[in-house]
Amino acid sequence: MDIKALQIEARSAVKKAQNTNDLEEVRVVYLGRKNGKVITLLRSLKDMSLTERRQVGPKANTLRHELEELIKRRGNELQEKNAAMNVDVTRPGDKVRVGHLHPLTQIEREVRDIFTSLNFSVLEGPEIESDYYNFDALNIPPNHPARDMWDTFWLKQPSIKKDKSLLRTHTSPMQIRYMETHKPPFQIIVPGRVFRYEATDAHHEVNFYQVEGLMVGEHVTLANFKYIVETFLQQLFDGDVQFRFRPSYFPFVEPGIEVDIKLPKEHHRQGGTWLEVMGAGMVHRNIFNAVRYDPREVQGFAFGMGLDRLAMIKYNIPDIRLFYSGDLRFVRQF
Amino acid sequence: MKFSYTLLKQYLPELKNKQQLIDALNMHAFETEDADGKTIDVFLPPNRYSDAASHIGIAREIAAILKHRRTNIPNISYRLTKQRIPQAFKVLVEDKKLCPRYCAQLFENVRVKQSPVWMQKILKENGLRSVNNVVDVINYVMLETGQPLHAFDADKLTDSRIVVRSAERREKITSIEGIEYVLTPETLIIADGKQPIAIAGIKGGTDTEVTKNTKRILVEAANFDGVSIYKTAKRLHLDTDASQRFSHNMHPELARIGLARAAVVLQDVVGAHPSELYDTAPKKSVMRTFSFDINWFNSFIGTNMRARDAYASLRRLGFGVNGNKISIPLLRQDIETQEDLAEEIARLSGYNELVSQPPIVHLSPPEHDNWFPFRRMVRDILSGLGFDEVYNTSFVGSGDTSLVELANPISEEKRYLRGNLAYSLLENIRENLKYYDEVRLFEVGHVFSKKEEYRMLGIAIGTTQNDYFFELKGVVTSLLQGLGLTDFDFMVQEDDGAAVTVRVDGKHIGELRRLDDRRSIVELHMDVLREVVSGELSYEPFPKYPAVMRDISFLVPPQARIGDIVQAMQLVNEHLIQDIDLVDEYTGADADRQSITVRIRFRADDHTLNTAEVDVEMERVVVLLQNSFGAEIR
Repeated sequence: MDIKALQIEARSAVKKAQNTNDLEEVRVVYLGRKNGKVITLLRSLKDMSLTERRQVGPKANTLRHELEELIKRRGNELQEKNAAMNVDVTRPGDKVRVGHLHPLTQIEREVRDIFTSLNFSVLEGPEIESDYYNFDALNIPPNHPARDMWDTFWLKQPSIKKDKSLLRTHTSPMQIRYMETHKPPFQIIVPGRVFRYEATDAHHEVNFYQVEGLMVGEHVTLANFKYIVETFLQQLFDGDVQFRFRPSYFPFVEPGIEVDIKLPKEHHRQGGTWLEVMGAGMVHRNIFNAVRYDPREVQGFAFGMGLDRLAMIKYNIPDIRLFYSGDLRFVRQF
Repeated sequence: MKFSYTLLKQYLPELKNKQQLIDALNMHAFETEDADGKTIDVFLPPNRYSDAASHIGIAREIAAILKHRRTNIPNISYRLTKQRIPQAFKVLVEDKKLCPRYCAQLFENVRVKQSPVWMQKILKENGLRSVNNVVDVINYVMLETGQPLHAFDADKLTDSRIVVRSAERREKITSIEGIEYVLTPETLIIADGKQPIAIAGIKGGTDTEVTKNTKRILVEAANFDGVSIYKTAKRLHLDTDASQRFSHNMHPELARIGLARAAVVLQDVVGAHPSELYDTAPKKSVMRTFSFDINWFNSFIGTNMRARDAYASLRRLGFGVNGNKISIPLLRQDIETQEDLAEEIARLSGYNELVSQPPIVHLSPPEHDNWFPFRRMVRDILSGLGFDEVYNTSFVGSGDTSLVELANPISEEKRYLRGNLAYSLLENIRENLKYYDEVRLFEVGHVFSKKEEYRMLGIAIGTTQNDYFFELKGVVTSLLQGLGLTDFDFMVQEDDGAAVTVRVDGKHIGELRRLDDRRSIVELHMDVLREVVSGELSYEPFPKYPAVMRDISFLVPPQARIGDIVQAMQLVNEHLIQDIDLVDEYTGADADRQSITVRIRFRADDHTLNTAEVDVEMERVVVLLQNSFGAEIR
């Protein structure tokens, strides 16, 4: 075999070796002490004529050194490759730090996104209110038992102020504040923290969140209210919702309505039973009078719902106090 | 308010069972729950006490809802008496505003004993204890009609007089239960010729109560001003069946109705003979009339009802219909507007039956308020940086005089409104370190001072072993940068080595504090921050020319502050010096020096800087370090 051909063959064989076993085979084939092709060639030199020996000898030696070098290099390559392939990919991934948004933040975003998609605007209001905005303007007169529907935290304050200050018991004062400065038609929601003077238990907290809704125009009807609320609750609870609309009473609406929902048992801890989720109704004409709208020209609906309650239903949370516990074992589940 | 199924069933023989009753009320009238046994619990709206705080009223509702044709609801009739002064007793009402009507009737031949079992049973279903036949009838008639009544032993009334007046200061009365109340002039009382015998509309006194020896009774059926009763009941902490009802402004006619019914039942059950009757306001009450427009109704509710169906509903509820003129039953004081009539019609057909309709509105651009997108961004940036969000209560227990105090705190731990978020966040850290080695938290919420209410952001880190103050400082930097801010700094506080003031556009927006080597916290004013965030992110072309980096190491006295040094170095050439990073700091064995290495990045906007240019700047940096900070260059 001529040396040139042997060189080409050997080089290609080294290149083709895909692992150390292959490479060892290649080495044996060409450089093996017994039958290695190059070694055999070198051994056969002694049987050659001097001229032949001078011609072939150096080339054969060079080839031997070249192959040794190539095999060594290829060996290193294969070893590196091997190392890269030999990682245990079944090991668990690193713990990457990620922050969790509070479930009330998350549900408020959902509520807000649904309503903004229905062309509602979103506003906020102060947590400290006057008794005018929290009660009087909402058709809840002083010294009337209707006020007992809202157990109120009052603030200590200097007596110079005319209005008494309190922690708002609902987000409804924003109905008045908004209408005082805006003209219909409009549709708004107002999420925010509210306060009730009541004993704390799994379903009651001294502070919690509400979302107020208000839609006023020339032709806004009770049937429109049903449409908006059904659309909203269906989107929030992914479609599978049954509704019940019942008469109720709130001084700032007439008629007053309570909305119950029933969710499938399979998905919700509180499924299968009727759950009160919303108080609502058509805006009372005394409210329009208080903000100097003409009740003969405008009508509309208002509603209020507890955000904590919606979150408890949606995320199967059994105790409202968890929201305000600051416990990361809770927050990190969301 | 509790109602007896037995009595309702007696009125409404067509009633199938308790559940039918509960469902009917729930879906068409009032929220109702099944209480134990034969009792139901109705959440009566405050404006329906006149007509519906009674078994008769509830029975009328049910009959209207379920379309019962045959009922045994008692028909109460009476004639208005002529204003004739009775011989056997006198009634004097001093304040007609606080007591618009006072009816009283004398009954003779009273024999006090136990009441019949059927009556005791109905009282029991309503949570009332049986006392004797007279008291039981008085209570029973209240349950039937809704009118609270009271029976005095007529022979114990000094001078046979009833005076309705304000109490005198320090006047006293002992209730039937034997509790003594010291009265004030704000309290309206019923007195005889000598002393108080009842707290008007709330509670009777023991001196004139009916006993087994009673032979003649004077039955009171009166009407009192709601506000006055409400206030007195609150003041005396006396919440009674009567005060509940009177607080809700009952119709004055109900007094006469109640007395008429009492006369019938007292005759039937006690065998008492009705005698003289006195009524301070024997005027005929006039029914109010509204005109009703079916087109308006349909455009209000969003339905398409025929007028005659609407009228049929109103008739079932006892309204009079004459053309489109609707007359309102006397006791339905809640009906004040056409919307009230609309409610009656709509609820009787049922809100569930109403077909939903999408509103037709003009599209309007939503109110532009950058608060929500701003807060959303803040929360997203912080949670992205690995911080968990918490919500804490708005109340705190201890505080200084700057805090807003509640007039009626629910407990000592909730006496004040929070003036910061830090207090609760540190508490959160303490609690959570029981379960985690590192705690990163934030909260967005309202806090309060005596002057104002404002919105804050609190961010805190707490660990069991490491000091993350500089991480928190970096988080604030990332947050502000993420909000599109560039002009901000952390300013040293002269008197406080552990904190820096965070400033944006020169405005103080908060404070970053290292509490100790485990805990750091920052509070930022969200309202101020929101104002300075214009929010527009804007593209800057990539730099065209390469930057040149130079490191410089130097020794400075330990009191030299790195922040000051870096800031001063920056000012050496604001155009060419792009950035300065702290590469290394080290306080060696030689504790009176600290060794600092910084890397300065030079870059020009318009050409590639050459070595000579950078050398000039470096020389100025060296001079600055030596002259201003006493540095020794290494």
